[in-house]
Amino acid sequence: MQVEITITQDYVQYNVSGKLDSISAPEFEENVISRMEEHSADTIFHLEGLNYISSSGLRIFLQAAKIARMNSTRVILSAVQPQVREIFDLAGFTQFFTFADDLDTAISILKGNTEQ
Amino acid sequence: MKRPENIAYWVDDVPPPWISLLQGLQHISVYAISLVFPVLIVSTINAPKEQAMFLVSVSMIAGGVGVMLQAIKRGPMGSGFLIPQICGPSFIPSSLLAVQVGGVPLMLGMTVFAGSLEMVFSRFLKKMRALFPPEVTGTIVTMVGISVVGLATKNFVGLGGSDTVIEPSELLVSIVTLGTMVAINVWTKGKLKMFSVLVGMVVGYLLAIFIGVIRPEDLAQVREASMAWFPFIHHPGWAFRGDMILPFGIAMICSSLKSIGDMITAQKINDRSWKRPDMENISGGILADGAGCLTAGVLGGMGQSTSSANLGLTIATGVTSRRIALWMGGLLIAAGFFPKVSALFAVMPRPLMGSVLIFALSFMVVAGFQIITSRMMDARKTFVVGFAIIFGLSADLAPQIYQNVPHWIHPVVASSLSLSAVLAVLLNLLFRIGISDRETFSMAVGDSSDAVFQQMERLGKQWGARPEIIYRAAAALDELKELIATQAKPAESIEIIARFDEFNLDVAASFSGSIPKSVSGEGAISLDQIPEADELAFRMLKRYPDRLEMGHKGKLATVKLHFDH
Repeated sequence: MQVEITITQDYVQYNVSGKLDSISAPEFEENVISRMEEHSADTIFHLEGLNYISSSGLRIFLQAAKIARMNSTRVILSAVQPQVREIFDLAGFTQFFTFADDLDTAISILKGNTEQ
Repeated sequence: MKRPENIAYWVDDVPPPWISLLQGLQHISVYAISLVFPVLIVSTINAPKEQAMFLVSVSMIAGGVGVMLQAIKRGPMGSGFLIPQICGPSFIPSSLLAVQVGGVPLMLGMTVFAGSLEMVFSRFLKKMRALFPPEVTGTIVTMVGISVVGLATKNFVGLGGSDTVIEPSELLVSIVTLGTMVAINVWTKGKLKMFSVLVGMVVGYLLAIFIGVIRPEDLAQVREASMAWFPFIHHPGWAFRGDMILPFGIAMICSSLKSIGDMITAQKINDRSWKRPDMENISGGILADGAGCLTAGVLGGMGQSTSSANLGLTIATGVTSRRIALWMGGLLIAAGFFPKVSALFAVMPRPLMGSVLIFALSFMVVAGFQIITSRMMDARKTFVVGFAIIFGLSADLAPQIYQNVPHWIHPVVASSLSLSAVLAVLLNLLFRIGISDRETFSMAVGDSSDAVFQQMERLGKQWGARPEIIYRAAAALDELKELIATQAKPAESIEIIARFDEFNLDVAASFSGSIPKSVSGEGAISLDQIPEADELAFRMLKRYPDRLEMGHKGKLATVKLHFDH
């Protein structure tokens, strides 16, 4: 698994690729959760390159959604591959996240909200 | 069956009569291309003109019976799809041989034999699933399109027979005809799109008459043709010969393989959730295919088989309603008694034939690719597909290789389609040697998910499994691994036995220890109380397979995962 972090004025973007499983989850958790707890910002997980996520990975996303709810920020999952989207559906977690077809859509969803 | 997107009239839909009528005509305009085959065959023995007309008329009548038999689903007869029959190209070499040895009667007699044999063959098909995995049938479907490249492109530029000059006027007709068909198909919607080929044909015919590609003497031929006749009084009778059994038997095998490919394509284009060939359905389809061939032999037509070009047309237009078969069949049978109608099709200019073939068979090439790649590929399957296509094409591209083969093999090497089809079936059998449907391996609990996925993907490729099922099995094993890793004293490794057949994937895992009773893996999830890691892992482990059983065997815990394939 690889993670790249981009920080802009409006949001924090994580580009995640490869497989997010029990081996890679601790590092991802360290990166994401501690940052979210310290800085309150909208978050985009750009998952175009992610081809598998195990329950350890799913758990981190649940935590991220929980923190976002407490901070009144938003979590958007962008460009999720069909088989990964199916895992979210299968787990029954779809309701906790906003899915965007691509990165541009994800950004415009966030912008739409800030304008309101 | 799930209704696919882009289907305007699905297999059991009933379109309004005017649409069915025009669809029937459109299919006949594609069908008519194959009428050159019987003409070609009798032209080699200088038979009287009546003989050619007789063969053409009766072939149309037999084609009409065939398309209707194929579309019904009564008892064992028919696949219930709209797959028109044509004068089968696979029967050209053996029919040529027969007319040279014993005239038209021998060809008819041996066609009766081939049709009967195909009907018998169809009764054994259900047990022969192993012969037709997707990589074999997909290769055949792909080759249906590729094998006509020579014929289609030559016709497209107006070459063929004694015509060796590419005339600009013919090119113009080709480009306008194909352009019209494609433009209507791509950039229009609704009713017009359903008739892209028919409109292209009408435009092509008009242009061809206007700029002289159809010459006045061709039109005179149409004018001179009699309005109505009763073809059967010209029936020359039947003859049989023992030494024709082999060539016609082989022709029938080649023809059936192609028909099987067509039927699988029909199943796939009519079902969005298509997974595998339905052998029961194919068996009924081949019975109808044979019955159509038998009808041709008895009444006096050339050997028949399903038409890939017509099937391509149904994909292009999104009209697969089997109701059309009734209209097309009725029209074809009627046309057999009205020579003026068949004469109109007989003067179809080459550019029109080329355009229709290129248009319709493009869809078959792509359908073939899709069938091949619906399963995971390994080196064995790559060789099955690759060798069958490469050596198959040699029949067209390097025919001198096969100059000295015994004459009974001619039907196989006469076209790249039959050679690839036979090779694909044989290579598949050969490469099955050494494949076990049961594999044992072990997995370390500390492994990454990559290791599990690689192991399962290797097996999936070997078995030709569907990638999405293999993915779910690998994910389930990964979750089992995660669940075990959360325990106080986790086992170090898991022993796994995986079993596969076309319908089932069963994965049995055993490890020392047990699955803790404290986790349930059930219930609603809320963000207020995010479940523990073991709870989530168990939740996913339960949800991936179609069935899960847990138990104990001595000190070992066992988890059995079943996936429907």
